[in-house]
Amino acid sequence: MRLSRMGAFYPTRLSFMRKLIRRLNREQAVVSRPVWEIDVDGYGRAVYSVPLGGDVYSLVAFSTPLAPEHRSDRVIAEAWDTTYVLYDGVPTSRDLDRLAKNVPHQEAGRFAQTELVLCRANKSVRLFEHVVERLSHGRQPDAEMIRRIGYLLRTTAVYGNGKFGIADRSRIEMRPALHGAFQAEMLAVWLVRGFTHDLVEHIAVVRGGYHAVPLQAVVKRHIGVGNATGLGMAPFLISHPTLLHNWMLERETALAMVRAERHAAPETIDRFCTLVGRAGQHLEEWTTDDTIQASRTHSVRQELKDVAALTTSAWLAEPFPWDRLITHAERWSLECQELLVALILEPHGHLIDDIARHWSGAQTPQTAPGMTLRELDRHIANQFAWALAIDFGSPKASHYFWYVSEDKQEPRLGDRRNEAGADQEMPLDVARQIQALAQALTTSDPDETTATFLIRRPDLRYVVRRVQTAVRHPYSEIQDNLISADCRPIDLLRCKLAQFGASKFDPKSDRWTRITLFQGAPTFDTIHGSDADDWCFPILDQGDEAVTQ
Amino acid sequence: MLTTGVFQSSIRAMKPSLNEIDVVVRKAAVGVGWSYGVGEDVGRAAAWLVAQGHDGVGTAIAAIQPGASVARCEPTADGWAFPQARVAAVGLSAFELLAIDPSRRVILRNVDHPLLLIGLAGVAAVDNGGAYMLTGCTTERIAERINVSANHATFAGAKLTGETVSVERSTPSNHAPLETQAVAVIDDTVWRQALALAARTYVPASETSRAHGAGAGLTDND
Repeated sequence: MRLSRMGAFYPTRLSFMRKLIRRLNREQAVVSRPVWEIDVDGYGRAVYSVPLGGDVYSLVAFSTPLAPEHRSDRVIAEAWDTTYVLYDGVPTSRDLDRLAKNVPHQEAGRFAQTELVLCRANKSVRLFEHVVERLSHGRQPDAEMIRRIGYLLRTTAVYGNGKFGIADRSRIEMRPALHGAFQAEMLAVWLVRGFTHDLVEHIAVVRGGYHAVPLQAVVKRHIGVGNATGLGMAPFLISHPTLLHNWMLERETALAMVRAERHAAPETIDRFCTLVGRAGQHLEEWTTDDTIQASRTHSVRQELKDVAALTTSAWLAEPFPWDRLITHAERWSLECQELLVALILEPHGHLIDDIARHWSGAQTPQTAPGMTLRELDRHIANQFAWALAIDFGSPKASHYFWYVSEDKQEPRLGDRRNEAGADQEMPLDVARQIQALAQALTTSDPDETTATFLIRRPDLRYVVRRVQTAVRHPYSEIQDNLISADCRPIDLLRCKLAQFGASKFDPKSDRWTRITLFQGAPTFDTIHGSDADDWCFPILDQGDEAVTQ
Repeated sequence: MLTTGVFQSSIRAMKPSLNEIDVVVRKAAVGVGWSYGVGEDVGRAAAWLVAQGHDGVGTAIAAIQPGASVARCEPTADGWAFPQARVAAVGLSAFELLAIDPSRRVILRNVDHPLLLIGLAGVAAVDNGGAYMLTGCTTERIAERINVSANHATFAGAKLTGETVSVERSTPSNHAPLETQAVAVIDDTVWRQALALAARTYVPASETSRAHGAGAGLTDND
């Protein structure tokens, strides 16, 4: 698993958002709004509740004034347009008052085990005002702006698993409704999206009175939630190796199962061809100022035309169509290869949707104490040859160091030779640690056990654990040097965000990106429909309803 | 003052999540100078202890204070012995040795923080599904799932300043549910001490760091 491929991932039907939406649809979930205390300017609080799997979850939303100079997507921001918690149950008035004193302060607040997720979002100034203005005058927003921007608010952090006193994941991980990675976080963001829809319609009615109109259903469905993501996501992938393994195992197993299909049914072929067309239009609507991503997107648009030309019904009707297509794709870019993975998985939900039921948990990496150093050395040679091949004598190989800033503990990347702080480096230099371990093994008794070795060398406990974890979890390590001058952290971000189900990556640098979440996903009103799972590669004109202006 | 026995909630106390405890104690250990891998073990042990109602944070913070940490392990007739058992340094190793040969036992002499040893036994039990007897430290069988109310009294009566502890593998004997949130509250002073040690792993802010370290754009008013 190389960074370059991870940096080309697309969301698939196995992405976390897709799983949540299928679950909400399967349970025919009904979202209610028991509290709406929003004033004429759009400020106040609201509560949305949804029963799921026998429990009720409530999004508590706070909307507050924010001066433009304080609007920042960075972790180091201290105020936001809107703030939220996902509450376990239905909050009482007393709970709401307690939350009102803490939630708007985010990291500076303090929370209880009844709070499952903490997050915040800032307005997309350019679209939010435009939509309110148009709706208040009885018009729908400009379709081109909806296509280009795609969200009214942009989340800037979504915290779970015990942060700032909220519930540990262990509180909810056994609940079937939230089984799987990041399901509580995804539920919170989906509810936030519904709040953004209600918020613009509310302000439009206040401004326009009887002239105002609600969002057209097709437009509403195309408005997702934005997200701005920085380096904080990158260390997560390194510090959760078994989770990463499970995600990749699910993906690779699903891909292998589809490739093993001897024949494609006619309806599957039709579906695939329809999706290729839709993906082409989706790519046309994906805009970014980032020159690297823009170039890649341009290339994949052209390559997708080649895909469409190749994959005629007759070509796909021959044996093993999906295996042949993936093999054929090796001549195209990684971006196109990964797009094809998403495209061929999509029509095979019946085959692959449930394969990961038992894999989604994250086991804590463990040592294998009885393993001899000879065996350990052999595993390093077999699985970490990529790490041993790196020349750390070259300054370029250790150019960066990862660290946590005292500025609200924001993860950052520093230039080792020109910035202070390398003495507090985070252990993301896995390849370099592997080499240190391999060196230590050259002077050790090969028959010695790991257990006694670690008594002598506790400094190597962390990397020994990683190697031994990789033996059991072969997808647990990213096979690249994360401190190299060539490292592009944004590749890590894209991998994780694609697993979430994010689309329309809009990088702002090599370590920061904006994305769109839940674009095209069912809304509160349409979650019960038969097309609830049909929102991959969303386009504004999807469906029968024309967009009015 | 740091406590080593059953934790009594103080007037000024807070209740962090287990994940916060794990992370903060791990960082604190690294901040003091322990390796990241040892920090992981101590952090998990602290969280496990708190989940059982004990002062895992205070115990861990006391146990990681600077001092000699060179571990020496000697073979014995029926297992292994650590003559100077600094628990933060050798604690998990005792259980790893027993994973090689469950029929043997490990003797730890001059144990400095027995409660942390119990926490590490809990971590080992979680990882391998077994159980441990820590003779000389507690009469409670330490397993992944232990009965909180029962062990509270047992731990309270244990000789928590014991000098010699014999560790042996056992089998789990009960099936009390795992705690899913921190049972013990944490003394505010102890928690602040842990946070201060953890903060040693943070790099001081600078304009360069703020401007370039995260790679964000210049404006978000768009």
